[in-house]
Amino acid sequence: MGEISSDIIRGYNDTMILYLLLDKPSYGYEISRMIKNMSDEKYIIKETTLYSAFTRMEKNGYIESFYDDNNPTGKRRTYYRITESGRAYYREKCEEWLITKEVIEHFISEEGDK
Amino acid sequence: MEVIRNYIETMFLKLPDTPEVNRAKSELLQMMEDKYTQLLADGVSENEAVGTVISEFGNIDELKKDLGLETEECTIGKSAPRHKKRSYISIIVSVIIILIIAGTAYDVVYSLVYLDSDYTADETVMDNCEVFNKIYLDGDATDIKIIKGSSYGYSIDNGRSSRAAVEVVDGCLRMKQSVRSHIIGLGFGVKGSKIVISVPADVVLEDIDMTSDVGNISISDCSAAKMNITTNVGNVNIKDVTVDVLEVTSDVGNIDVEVADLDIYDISLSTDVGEIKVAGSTQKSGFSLMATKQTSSSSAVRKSIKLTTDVGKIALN
Repeated sequence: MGEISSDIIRGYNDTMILYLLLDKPSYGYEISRMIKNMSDEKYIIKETTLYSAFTRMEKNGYIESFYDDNNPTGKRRTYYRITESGRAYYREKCEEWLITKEVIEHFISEEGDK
Repeated sequence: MEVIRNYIETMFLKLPDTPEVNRAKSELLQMMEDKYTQLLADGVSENEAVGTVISEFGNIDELKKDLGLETEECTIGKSAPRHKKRSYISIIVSVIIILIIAGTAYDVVYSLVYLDSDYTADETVMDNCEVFNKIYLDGDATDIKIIKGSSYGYSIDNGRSSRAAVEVVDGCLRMKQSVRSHIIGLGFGVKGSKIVISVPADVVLEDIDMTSDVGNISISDCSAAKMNITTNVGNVNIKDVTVDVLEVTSDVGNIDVEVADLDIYDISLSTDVGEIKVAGSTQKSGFSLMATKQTSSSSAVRKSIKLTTDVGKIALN
């Protein structure tokens, strides 16, 4: 009970990542940590899933990667920033979710509460 | 951190050396290092941090399409090979964890990658041998099966680079299997060996004692007063057996045991990472239970089952 279905959430990994990039660029671990925190630790995204989403979205032009050489820790990290077409895609996914949610909601009921 | 680095190296062992693959490797490593560092900062122990990082890594197959190594059509059409790949990966993961636990030589990784899991014992031609009532077996990298047969016998398939010594002395079948490790280092298709031992029906052996570094062990349809099985990496599957004292210790691997009547045993089960199920219901690690129907008031030995694994699932039915 209460487990998240990876099949369902797969279609919305992009949405979560893009949301976290709306305000400022970020990097892999930070994104995965924020997803974990914002989902109250109910969803922990696997590293391979995250990286696969990065490469796919970069190929599609939704995000761009760059190095941050001014990192105080001296580690040369890859950062990702959202592009205009990424923002448009994000808005599309939000609308898609609202419709999906609306449709499914009609079929969700507490057992015996029909 | 070294362990995580080795883990990534091993996961990428079978992927080609392309810029995309190398980038993926360093990016994934970076994410894992970040997570590891954060866990340590949160006060988690090193072992636990490594465990968390590796368990949250995911599946390398997921990346193949994005790295241009596989088309979507292929992925859909090849369900059987994918399954096989996954079993390789689970073995590779196991080996890495073993590196943590036992600090074993890095070479072992290579021997594991090529262990063949499709082996069926039933078609094997057995060599008959002298009668024995004990089995002592010491294996480096081998799958081991004990089955019911028409006679006492064994078969050994040495694969490409292993050898085994067998003798029956004083009613004891002794086997020692070892891998020539220098060849393994070169990394070409080395296979572990397969050993099958057959015991006639209605024979009750005195003692089965097996130690194996790497490989799966299965015992079915067989009786012995004592079974003692120790493995570093591999699954242990024991089914339809009659036994008084059973002890299985594994560093990495699942343990699956079925006996006729659970109620007659003192039971003690533990795992560090994994799930424990007794008769279908989930139990906590460190599960122990005194026999409700201990029949041994007359005999000196209490019947008992003790299963221990560091990483893996335990099922007892």
